[in-house]
Amino acid sequence: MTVSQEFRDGLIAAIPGLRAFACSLVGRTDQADDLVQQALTKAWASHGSFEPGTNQRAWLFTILRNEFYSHLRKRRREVEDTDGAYARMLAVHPEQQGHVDLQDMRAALAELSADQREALLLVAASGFSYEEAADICEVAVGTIKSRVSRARNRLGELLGVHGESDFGPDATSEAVLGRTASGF
Amino acid sequence: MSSRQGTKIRLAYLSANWFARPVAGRAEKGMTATIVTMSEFSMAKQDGNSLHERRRGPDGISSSEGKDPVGRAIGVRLKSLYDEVAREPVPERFMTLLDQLASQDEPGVKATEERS
Repeated sequence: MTVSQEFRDGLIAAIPGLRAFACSLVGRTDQADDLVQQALTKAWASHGSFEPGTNQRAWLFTILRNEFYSHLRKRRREVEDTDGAYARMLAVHPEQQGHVDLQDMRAALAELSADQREALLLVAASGFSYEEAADICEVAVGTIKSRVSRARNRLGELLGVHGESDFGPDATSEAVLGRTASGF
Repeated sequence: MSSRQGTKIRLAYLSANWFARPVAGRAEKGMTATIVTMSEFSMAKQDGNSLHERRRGPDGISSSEGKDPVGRAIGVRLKSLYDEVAREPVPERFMTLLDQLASQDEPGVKATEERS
């Protein structure tokens, strides 16, 4: 079965988002692009299992995420070091100032658990719904909501912007997501 | 915005390690076009509307419809980090890859695989 032009266009359209998601997983662009390449190759080979009309972008993110975790499972040591590696890489260039607030954000994100960071990124930055993020991460919708909620609360604490009155559960969820529950 | 051009040029460099590495300090001039600055963030703590009105998502979508200015500021910065990478042009290696994959699908090229 030949890969359709539509399928190929969908791959190309998803690449920018896949790269950004990959960077959030592995933290380095060369590794991230390798991961994207693996995912694209896998997606091409699996195109027969994609149902046209369904969300190709979410399907691709799922593949990329699976590639990431299956790759990591093969290298157990790296799995355990994922978060530590984040912290070290952040510490490598302390002299580079740039924008303090974004540096703080990077540092704060590195403090989150991988699960929470991933859930937050998918929903708050990648533009997926809770339901789509749940499919991508292969967990229940409630689990994603909980992870996003804990992630944003933790970020609020780490960034020193956590306020009793500012962060009611529902209000914060929508606020951190920067959008209403109806989505983009 | 006049610094738009500069921003575009700098982004490729800035995006090299969007999570792992702090952005370099030499690019302030152009960067403010797309990145929420500390002063804006501080302002947002006090006045939710200021950030709300300045920032839009990459697709022109307002990313500030929530009611909490602080939470919104976090959301906007998160998206800024993400967009540093997502706004880059697609690297050539991926177009090359797709071409290679397509050529492998053509009849004849598959001969070696079909032997088994």
